[in-house]
Amino acid sequence: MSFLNVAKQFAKSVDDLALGITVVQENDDFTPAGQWAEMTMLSHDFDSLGKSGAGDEQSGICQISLFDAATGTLQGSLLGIADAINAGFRHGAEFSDFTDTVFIQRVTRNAGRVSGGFYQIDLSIYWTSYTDR
Amino acid sequence: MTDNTQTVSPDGFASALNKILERFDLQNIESADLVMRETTKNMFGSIIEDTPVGDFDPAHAGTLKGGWEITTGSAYSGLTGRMTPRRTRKGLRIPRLITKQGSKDIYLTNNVPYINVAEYGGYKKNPKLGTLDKRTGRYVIRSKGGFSKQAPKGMVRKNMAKAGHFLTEAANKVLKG
Repeated sequence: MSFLNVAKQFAKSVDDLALGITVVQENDDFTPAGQWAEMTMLSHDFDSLGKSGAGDEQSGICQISLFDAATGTLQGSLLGIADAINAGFRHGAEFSDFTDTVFIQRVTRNAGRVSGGFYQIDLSIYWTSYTDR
Repeated sequence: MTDNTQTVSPDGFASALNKILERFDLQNIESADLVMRETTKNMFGSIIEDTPVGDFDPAHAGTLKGGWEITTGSAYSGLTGRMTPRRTRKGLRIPRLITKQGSKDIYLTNNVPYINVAEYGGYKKNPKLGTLDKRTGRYVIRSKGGFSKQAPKGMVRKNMAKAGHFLTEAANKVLKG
């Protein structure tokens, strides 16, 4: 699976969750307001599975950052969205809308914090995929 | 009974066996410690090497890399004040982690205030001038729609996710070496 297909797969899978907030991709041009989510594909690792065998195993992290412009209010709303994402990307979930399959390993979240004037919670989705050569 | 014959009593046999087991035990402890130290050095080293240098301000370049501190027992709570833009795993000193008395917890901590921004990214509300590039003396607007954006680097998570690889590599190096 290519970089592009993995990113497209996550974009589609998050879109399918119908979170009800604006979801932007990395390097998207948009003006933040209210609540929104931004998706970033962090760097991938490759492990060769043999010279002429099944191909390469890729693994990486899809980060979904949840933002709220209204700092100083309760975090419950963002946590509800975090729960929806967590439920959609449970361990063992598989997505195969673009050529190969993306396997979900786990989802983690960091502690919420106010960063640059926005309340922010980050979710990290650890994934694996395989490429046939 | 001839002079060169020795009788091993049940007690003597137990004592000899104990000595052998103790020697094996010490060897295993030594090997386990070497594997853990090698694993830790490569994992912590990768995190430090992947930490951004901050090339916009030469006077502070390497603050984030230098901010990593290795401690045992508890996490570091201060600021190192080090600026080491070229810091790599080569200079890291990992203490003994596994001894006969037990094992130690080891921590890698960074308390520089913007470490979370480097790891997770973030926005800044209403930046006024943009970021000053001290090399050129110009302010560079790196924002979208009036909001400055810094992309995540993920130096901690991506290396922690490779813990198994670091352990395998260390075990292969130490136990086959």
